[in-house]
Amino acid sequence: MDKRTSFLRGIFELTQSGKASDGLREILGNETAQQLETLVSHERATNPPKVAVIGKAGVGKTTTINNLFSAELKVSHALRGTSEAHHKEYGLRGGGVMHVIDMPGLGEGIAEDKVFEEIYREELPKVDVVLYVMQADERLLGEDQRIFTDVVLPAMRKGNGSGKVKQLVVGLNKVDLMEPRQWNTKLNHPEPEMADTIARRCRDITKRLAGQVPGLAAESINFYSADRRYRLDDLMITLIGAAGKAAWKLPKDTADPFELAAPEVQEFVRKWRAENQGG
Amino acid sequence: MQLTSAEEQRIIEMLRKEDRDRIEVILRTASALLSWLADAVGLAADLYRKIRNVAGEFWQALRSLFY
Repeated sequence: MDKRTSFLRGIFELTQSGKASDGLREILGNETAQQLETLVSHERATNPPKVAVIGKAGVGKTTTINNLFSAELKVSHALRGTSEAHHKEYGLRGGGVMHVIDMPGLGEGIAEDKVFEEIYREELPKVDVVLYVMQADERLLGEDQRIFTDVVLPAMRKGNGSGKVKQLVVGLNKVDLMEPRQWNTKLNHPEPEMADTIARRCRDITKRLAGQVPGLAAESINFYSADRRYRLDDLMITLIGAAGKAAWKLPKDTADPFELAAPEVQEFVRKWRAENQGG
Repeated sequence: MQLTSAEEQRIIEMLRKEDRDRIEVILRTASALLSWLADAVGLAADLYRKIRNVAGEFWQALRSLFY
C-alpha cells in the first residue's frame, strides 16, 4: 500500500474506530498520531454526531437507520408531549454514541401535527444532518411537499437565509417495490430493466420535488431500498456531503447487500473480495 | 448451484461499484476530518500544522477535492 493510500485509510479508520493504525503512526509519528486519537475521541464524546430522521409510519425509518449505520441501539426515550417522536442513542464501534432524533411525518392529525411541528423547530437546527425518508412513489408527494415547504425547511433555515438547505437529505426508499417488479433474489439486485426504470422514475420524482420545493437541492435526493440494502452506499455519500465538516463523525458501516444473496453468490463474493480487496 | 458466467460478470460489476463507492466514502470522510481540524483551535491547530507538514505532498489535493 503506498503512502497516500495508507494515510487516507488510516485517517478513515481513525474516524471509525478511534484508533490510529500502524500505517498512520508510521506516517505521522507516534506523538502526533496519539494527539489526533485524543482529539477525535474528545470531540466524539463531547459533541457526538446528531442525525434527525423524519418520515411517516411505514416508510422504513428504523430499517434505514439499522442498515445504513449498523449501529446498536442503546437508549430510546420519547420526546416531550408525544409517544411517537423519540430520541435514540446508538453505540459506535470506536466508542461514544450517535444521537438520532426519530420523528414521524406530519398529516396524522391536527393536534399531533402542532406538537410535531414544535419539536421540528426545536430539534432540527441542532443536528448535523436531516434524513427525510419517503416512499419512492409519485402518488405520495403532495403531503410531503407541504411538510418540506411549511415546516422542515423553515425550521432548518434559522439564521440561514432563504437559500438551499445543505444539511437536508431526502431518501426515496422502497424502490424494490416499484413496477415492473423484477428483483433477482439470487443476486439480491434488480434486473437491468427494473434498475433502469427505478433510476428513471426516481430522477422524475427528484426533478419534481426539487422544482416544487424552494430550498431543496436535487443533489440532496437519492433513492435506495433499506430492506434489500440496495444503494445504501450511495445514500451514505449523499449524507456525508450534507453533513459537511461534521461528516467524519458519522458511522459508515452500511449493511452488506450480498448477505441477502444466495449462498453460491456469497461464496463468489467472499473469494473476489479476498483476492481484490485484501479480504 | 453454479453461477453462470453472465451472473459472475454482473456480480463483479456490482463489486467494482461497491469499491468505487467505498473509496469515495473514505476520501470524503478524510477530507471532512481534515477540514474540521483546520477550523479547530488550540491543540487541533497545532496538530493540523504537524499533519499538514508530514502529509504535505497530498494534502492540498485532498482538501481541494470536496471543500
